[in-house]
Amino acid sequence: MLDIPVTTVEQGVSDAEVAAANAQPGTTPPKRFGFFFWCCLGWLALIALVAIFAGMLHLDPPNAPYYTPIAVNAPPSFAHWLGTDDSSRDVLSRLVYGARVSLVIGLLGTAIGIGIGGSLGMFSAYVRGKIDAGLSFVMYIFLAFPAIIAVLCILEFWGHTESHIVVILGLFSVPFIYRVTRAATLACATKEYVTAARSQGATARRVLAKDIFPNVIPALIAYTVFTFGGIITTEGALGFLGQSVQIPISSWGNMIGEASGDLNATLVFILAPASALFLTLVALNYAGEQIRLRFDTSEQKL
Amino acid sequence: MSTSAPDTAVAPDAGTERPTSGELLEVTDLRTTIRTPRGPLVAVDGVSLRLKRGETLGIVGESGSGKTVLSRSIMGLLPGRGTMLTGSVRFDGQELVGAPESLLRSIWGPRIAMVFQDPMTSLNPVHRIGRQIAETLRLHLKLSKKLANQSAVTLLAQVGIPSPELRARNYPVELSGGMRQRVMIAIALACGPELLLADEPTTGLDVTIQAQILDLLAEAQRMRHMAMIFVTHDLGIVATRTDQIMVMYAGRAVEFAPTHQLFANVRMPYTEALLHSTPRMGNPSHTRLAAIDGRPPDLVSRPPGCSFAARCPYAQDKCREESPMLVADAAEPDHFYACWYPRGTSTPVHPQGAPSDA
Repeated sequence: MLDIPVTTVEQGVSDAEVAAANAQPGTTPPKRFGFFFWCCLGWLALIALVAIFAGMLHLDPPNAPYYTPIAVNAPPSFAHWLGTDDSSRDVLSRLVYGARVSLVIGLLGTAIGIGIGGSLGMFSAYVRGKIDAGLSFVMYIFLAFPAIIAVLCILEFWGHTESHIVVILGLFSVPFIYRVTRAATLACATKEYVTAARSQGATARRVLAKDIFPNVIPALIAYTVFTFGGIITTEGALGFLGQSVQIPISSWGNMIGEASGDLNATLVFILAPASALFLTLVALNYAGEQIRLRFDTSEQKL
Repeated sequence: MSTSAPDTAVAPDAGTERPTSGELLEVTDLRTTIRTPRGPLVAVDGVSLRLKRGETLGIVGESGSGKTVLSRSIMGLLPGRGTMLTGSVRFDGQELVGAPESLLRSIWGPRIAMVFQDPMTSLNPVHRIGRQIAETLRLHLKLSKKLANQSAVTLLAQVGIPSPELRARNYPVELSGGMRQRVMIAIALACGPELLLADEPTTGLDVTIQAQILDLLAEAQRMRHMAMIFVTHDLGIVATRTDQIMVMYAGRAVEFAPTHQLFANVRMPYTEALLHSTPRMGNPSHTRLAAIDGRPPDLVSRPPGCSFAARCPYAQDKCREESPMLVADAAEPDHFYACWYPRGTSTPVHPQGAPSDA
């Protein structure tokens, strides 16, 4: 007797409603990404591909001096597109392998930051109360710390390996992501649709995963990209100070650092890693911003 | 009239025969206290009510009278922190106050569901509406994805949405307010609840759509033998669609009666004032609408005496000193009110300290 009877209520929907519904799908033309966005993405793809397939590019070994003929501080040539540095190592090869270091540290550090910061931020904002207050307090202490000094000190004691740098830079990006995620979650957790989901018997985990998380993603995407850029920059700064991965392993930062010792040598030695770093950061920030705008549901509302 | 919707209608409770009459909900002395920086705020103060299966109760009151908090308290759907619930809510014999969250979650959806006030904000903007309906079905009825999607389309057809297969693929922003409220109702009805709490379901809608939504709710209720609690500030809406009406003021029930008795013999001056502040078609143009002067009392530091005394045109000294209890009318035993000097009677009918058993 309790099967759902299939009925439509009489004069179920007014014409106006039907018209409104039918008109809707066509009214908002999908936003398109511009030319510059695709340039940025192209550059990032190029860097990524080159870094991944560095071994197949028939480059000279980046860390060992090029043995014959011995060329120190040689200017760009057909044999060495960007020349050879003061230890007669191929600069292009060092640049490519340096991209590997920068990208890997950037990616893994961001993953750690987003993973820990994002989940803590969402959790904290959803449960509120003492846990939230405690966590936020800890995060503010972290934020108040001059990160670069702390990183330098810790690395000095712990050792300048790639994995240590990843972990530390990742951890120091946690408070920023925590703050952004927490704010986005707070804004969303008070919305009626969260209460509505709860009123349908959804567990806290389900509400967080299915109702809140998708609404936090836009803010998180933008921050993922900014964090990625930030970590690459910090790694560059560390490298410049000689505190990142140790020579002879190259990173963009330590290449700039090394080349800056002797600006009278070829300018290209400092320009190459610096512009690689610059272009990558511009591309990341611009692409991130465009993606955020594209998925910003609040802007689509009207 | 009926349309030939797909034959995938699911009987959510196939096999479990439900009784269609008898007591469903019994609320006794329910009190909701909200912790605020200024002190505890008693938003619902000792409300008792009973509801039978298939019946409709209207809860009426102005903004801030505690009607929304009451409906959420009945469900147990309150922000956990800072709110305290005492008293008793027995739903089909089961105590809900103090029940573990897991028990409540198993009741929310399949047995008690809620339709919210603002259809603009109560649908998740990032999911297609079909999916939002299917979610509930998959969670509680463990339907397969395909079956849940088919049932979602059927439900959309039942709430009067044209070309439901297409609409199921729309996002909430692509629908009008009336359509969204239909979707909300479809979600609430999805698992075949025995009790539907409708919290001002038509407040955000056009008057022309209001009547359609109300008819839809009434139709769904009749077909499913569902009990309904209808929360509104509009006496006109509940007048023809409820079996009983509870008038709330400052977190308390001030008048509680079967609908026809309430309108035939208004006892509580607040109910009378509410009725007078409803616009009427018969009034000449530019008639000034009677407003109730003043504001509801501060629920953190409640003044002594009757809560309505400060705004009541008939208030006497006694009203400001002693709080009236909810008592039964001498002539109509089903009609309860909390007033020392009720309308329509010449003398105070109840002695001091009358029993407060509502």
